[in-house]
Amino acid sequence: MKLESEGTVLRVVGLAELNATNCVTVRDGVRAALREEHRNVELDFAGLMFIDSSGLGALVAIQKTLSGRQGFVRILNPGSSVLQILELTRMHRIFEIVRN
Amino acid sequence: MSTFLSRPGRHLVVAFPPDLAAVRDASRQVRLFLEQQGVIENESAGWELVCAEAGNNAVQHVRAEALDKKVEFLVGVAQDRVDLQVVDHTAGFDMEASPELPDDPLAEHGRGLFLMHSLTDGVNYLRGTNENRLMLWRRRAVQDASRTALSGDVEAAALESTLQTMTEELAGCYESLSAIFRFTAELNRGAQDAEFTQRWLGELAQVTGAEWYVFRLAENPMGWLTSAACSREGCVLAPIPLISENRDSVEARAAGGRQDMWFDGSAPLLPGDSLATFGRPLSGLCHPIFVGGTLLGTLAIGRSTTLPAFTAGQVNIIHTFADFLGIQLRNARIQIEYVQGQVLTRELEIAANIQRSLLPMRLPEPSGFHLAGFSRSASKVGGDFFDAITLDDGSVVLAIADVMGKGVPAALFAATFRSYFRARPDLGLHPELLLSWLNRRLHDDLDRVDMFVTAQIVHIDVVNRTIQVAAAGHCPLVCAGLDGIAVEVAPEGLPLGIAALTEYSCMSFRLPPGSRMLMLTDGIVEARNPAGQLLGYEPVKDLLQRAAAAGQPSDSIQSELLALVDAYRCGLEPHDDLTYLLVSETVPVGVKPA
Repeated sequence: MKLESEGTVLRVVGLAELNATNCVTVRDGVRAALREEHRNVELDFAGLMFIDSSGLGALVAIQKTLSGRQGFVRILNPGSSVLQILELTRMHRIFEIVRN
Repeated sequence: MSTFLSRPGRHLVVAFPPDLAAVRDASRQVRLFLEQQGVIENESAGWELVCAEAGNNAVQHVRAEALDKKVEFLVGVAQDRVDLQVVDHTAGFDMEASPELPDDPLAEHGRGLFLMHSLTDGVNYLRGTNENRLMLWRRRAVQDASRTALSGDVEAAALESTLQTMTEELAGCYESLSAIFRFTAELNRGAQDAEFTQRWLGELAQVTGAEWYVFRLAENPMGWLTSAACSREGCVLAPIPLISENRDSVEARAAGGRQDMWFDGSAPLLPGDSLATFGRPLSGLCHPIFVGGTLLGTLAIGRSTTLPAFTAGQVNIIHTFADFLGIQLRNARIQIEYVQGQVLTRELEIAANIQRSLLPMRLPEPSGFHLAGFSRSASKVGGDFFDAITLDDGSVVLAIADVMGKGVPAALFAATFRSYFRARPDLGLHPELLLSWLNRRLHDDLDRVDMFVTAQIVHIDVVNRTIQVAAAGHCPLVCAGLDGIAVEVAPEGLPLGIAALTEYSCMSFRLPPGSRMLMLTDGIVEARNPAGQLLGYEPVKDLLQRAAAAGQPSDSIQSELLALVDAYRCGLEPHDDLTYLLVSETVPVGVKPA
């Protein structure tokens, strides 16, 4: 996982999986990297091959962290199988999901 | 286990220690095995997730005394179905028949069982003394033996599914963009807001497969949401108050919470919600539309089903359409306001020209006296007015008036007053009769628009040096002579337009030698300083006393008067029009008038 800062956005790239084994690392890593100027977090899921309910919980936890800053989580380029899980669990009602 | 393995088909058994990383490895092994058996990618991926969810539960809740025991995945692949059994050593739990997602969408846990149920066709859970057994199965999508044998066909099926998803998304993007370009062109051709909105939302419904929609506009940020467009022709829904306690309406909650609100079978509309007019069941979302941080309105859109209404791609299209609509409507409003402002400015310029033309170009020059008049409006068009006419006998009649209010209506009444004032010079010898006549003529028109006019009329007999004064609720005139005494003259009388049959009184007196007489409107004596105090009459009387005693010409009196008012305001903008008529005796000091 790599974290990139661009203005008000903190971007997470290079995640291959978001599951029970790494969800705490990702969640806490993002929280630790958030600076005062960051309002929104973008997670580039282009290379994400697998997500489970623990990974979804980490996304929700990040969203809750941002709500205090009037910010939001945006998910970029999820593959079909990951998008299917996001829609099945209605995460698309909470996060903005953008596919290029 | 032996019963399971004796079933027809091919089998896999994976046993692993109670460790999350081991769960992940075992889940991958199951997926690989299934793909090798010809199970399509989408289903294999689903089983991988089911294994992960079940395995994680088995690890996270394992009994302390069972830490040395292994968790097992038993997988069976038949021609028509896939079976999975998960053996765990937890205390077990009561399995719900149909687990739902957490009530709180922002809950961080509680989606695992829902996923397992959603991704399979059947779930059973057997609790035992030493171990528990979770049994899941799912029908296979590709059942034809000849096709399953051909892995190329299986891949083709998966590829076809992916392509279909991509095609739908691309089609959505294309339709969004083409609609935006087409409708932007329409707007530029002057399409009406209501017609544009209806057609735009109809397009959105078609693109997303929505069956109904309601678009509301926020009357003001804290006011009401009023129905502006609806998929049902002729349907006008009652306005919704935008108050925080309004919990019945999903539209009010979306606007107040500044976020999308969803509703479906699992989170139905509340009984008092006006969207229930579309019947039940209903499923959809309400999107609040903000432009530049200000609430413009809400769009509720959905289908008549209990199932979740829209995919992520469709939600993006709804957001794009709704936000584009908001920007277009806001731009249209700004354009209308700009045009209206331009029209109003032009109207005010015309009215100001008319008003300026009402003031006399030249004042009469009665023998032995000099008349000077001045009017300055606080706004573009004011309601103050003065006039003077010479009668056949050489006497003069002066009028000064103040129409309540400013702008075009005040200017129109000033014009009407002037016409009537000039229409009856025969009444000029009797100012009180002239006022009564003016009041009867103006009363009905003024009364209809709740306006009134204060006025003062003075007749000067230049031969006998007498004046007659009548007033209709107007501020007193000031008169000073060589003797250094200044007096206020204020006959009583109601303003014009208050009572139709008002009779006015008249005051008469001889002008003192070397007199200076000032008829004025309240913009002079009610000028305010920064502390909010009024100028009052005393400074004006002092000025006039000194001017009369010194035989000061009217030009310098006017300069001093304006300087007095402006200095008192200390640069503050005037809040009222300022108008006066100054009468100065021109007979040199020391010479007895004829």
